[in-house]
Amino acid sequence: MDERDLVRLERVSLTFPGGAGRAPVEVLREVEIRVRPGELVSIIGPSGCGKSTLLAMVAGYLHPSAGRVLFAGKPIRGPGRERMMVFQQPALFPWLTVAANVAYGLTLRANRRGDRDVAATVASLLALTQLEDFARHYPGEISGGMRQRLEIARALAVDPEVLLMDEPLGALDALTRRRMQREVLRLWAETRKTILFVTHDIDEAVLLSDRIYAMAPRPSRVREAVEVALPRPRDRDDRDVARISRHLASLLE
Amino acid sequence: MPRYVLRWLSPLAVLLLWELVGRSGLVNPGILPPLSSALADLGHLVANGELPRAMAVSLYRILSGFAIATVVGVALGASMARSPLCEAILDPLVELLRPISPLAILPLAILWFGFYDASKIFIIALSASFPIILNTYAGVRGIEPSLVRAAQSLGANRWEISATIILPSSLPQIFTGLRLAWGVSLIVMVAAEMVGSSNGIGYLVLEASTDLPQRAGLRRHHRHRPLRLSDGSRIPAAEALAPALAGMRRMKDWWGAKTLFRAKCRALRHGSTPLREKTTSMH
Repeated sequence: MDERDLVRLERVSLTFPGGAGRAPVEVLREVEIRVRPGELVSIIGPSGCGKSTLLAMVAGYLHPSAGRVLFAGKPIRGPGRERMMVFQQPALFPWLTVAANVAYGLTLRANRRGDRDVAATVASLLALTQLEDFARHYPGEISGGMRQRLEIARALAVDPEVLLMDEPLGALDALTRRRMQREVLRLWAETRKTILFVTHDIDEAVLLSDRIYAMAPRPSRVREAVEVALPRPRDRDDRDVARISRHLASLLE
Repeated sequence: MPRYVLRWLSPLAVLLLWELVGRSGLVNPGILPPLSSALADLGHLVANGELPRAMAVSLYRILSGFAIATVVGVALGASMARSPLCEAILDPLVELLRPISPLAILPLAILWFGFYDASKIFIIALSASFPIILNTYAGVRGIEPSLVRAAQSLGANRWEISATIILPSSLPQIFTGLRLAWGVSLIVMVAAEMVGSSNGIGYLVLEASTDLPQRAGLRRHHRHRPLRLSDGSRIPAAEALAPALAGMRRMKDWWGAKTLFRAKCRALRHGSTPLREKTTSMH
């Protein structure tokens, strides 16, 4: 037990009940994950290994069949703005402009603020994510990389304590992806947010994370927690980076 | 030529053709009067107030019915999509009532709501509700779940999610439902006014059609005479025309039946004729 954990999964299991001639599906088995404040932690594993399900539990969309999902020491009961999800396929509101998407969370009753405050927050987030010139565009009119940055800006607007990123770069082309990896690191450094990051890309995990949870599939469980105590920015060709990548690759085979 | 000019071409061509055929003498001008004379009649109907009056009556009925259908349809469709309980309760009813022809309900509607506006508004609202219910249901069901999840995480409560996420993202499909419903409303309105009303557009159309046989010169005796040349010999082509003539005769019989029907409607309007007598008088 570590009091400093911001997010902690304790022996979390999830089984979807069967029925109608289908057997119950065991998705997760006794998963243990911990994230301290300010850390960037990755969960890596093959597709269909329940990584996204884990994040959905931390976001509060799903509840475990056994075990506990804790945020700041308290069980998570439902969605909340202290734990913001950044979706794999951006879940932007297509009928709102870029600026209105960022402002959406600030106009809700739960966190309403003055108009001037909203405008200032939106402007600073658009600047942070380099979307100032596209404030009046609609999500359908901007590129995939911009949409992903907009997702992040919208999530940051309500000042969450942890960002849950579900393969946020999975849908991008290789070049945009590399740029966005640097971008995530920059945003992480500038905002000092805690980030829980799901990916299936080994290089991405090693370049970004403080710690990497390597998952084994069916049912998903943590195979190993790999600490990455290397200075950033990291280089793919660095010997230590390459060694950790090889180790992860062998774990995931 | 710009597109918007081209768009006028085909309607104008049809109108021109109408005028030419009407004037050519190829068809009985009583059956197809040229456009110009139709426009003159239109001007007359507008000037004497008959058409504006009928339109005001019909517009009131269709707008009321359509407005009720919109509110009821969107509310029912959305609650069926959002709540399994609502769906279980309402879906069988919707599927049961949907295929019933609105005109089949009109006699009941008249019994329930009277002969005037309320019964027409009722069947317009009823039949226009279904396309709105079904489309709203599909639109709300088709919402990307991650949009709702994102809004939940950002702190939206149930009401805010309905108003700011579910409504705007299902709006395109709701509008499809409204467009379909408007078409249904028009059809049902005209038909209801033709069958059981004493005013409105449908009634005006039917009323105007009662003297159409006279205007078209469709007289009982003329049509049976074999066509002959002045020397008394029959035209060879007349043999080929025989089926057409038979058709004409049938049409005349139809007009006869229709006149009976009109009389029956008039009797109903003037009050006391029971429904049963009405139906027997048709045969």
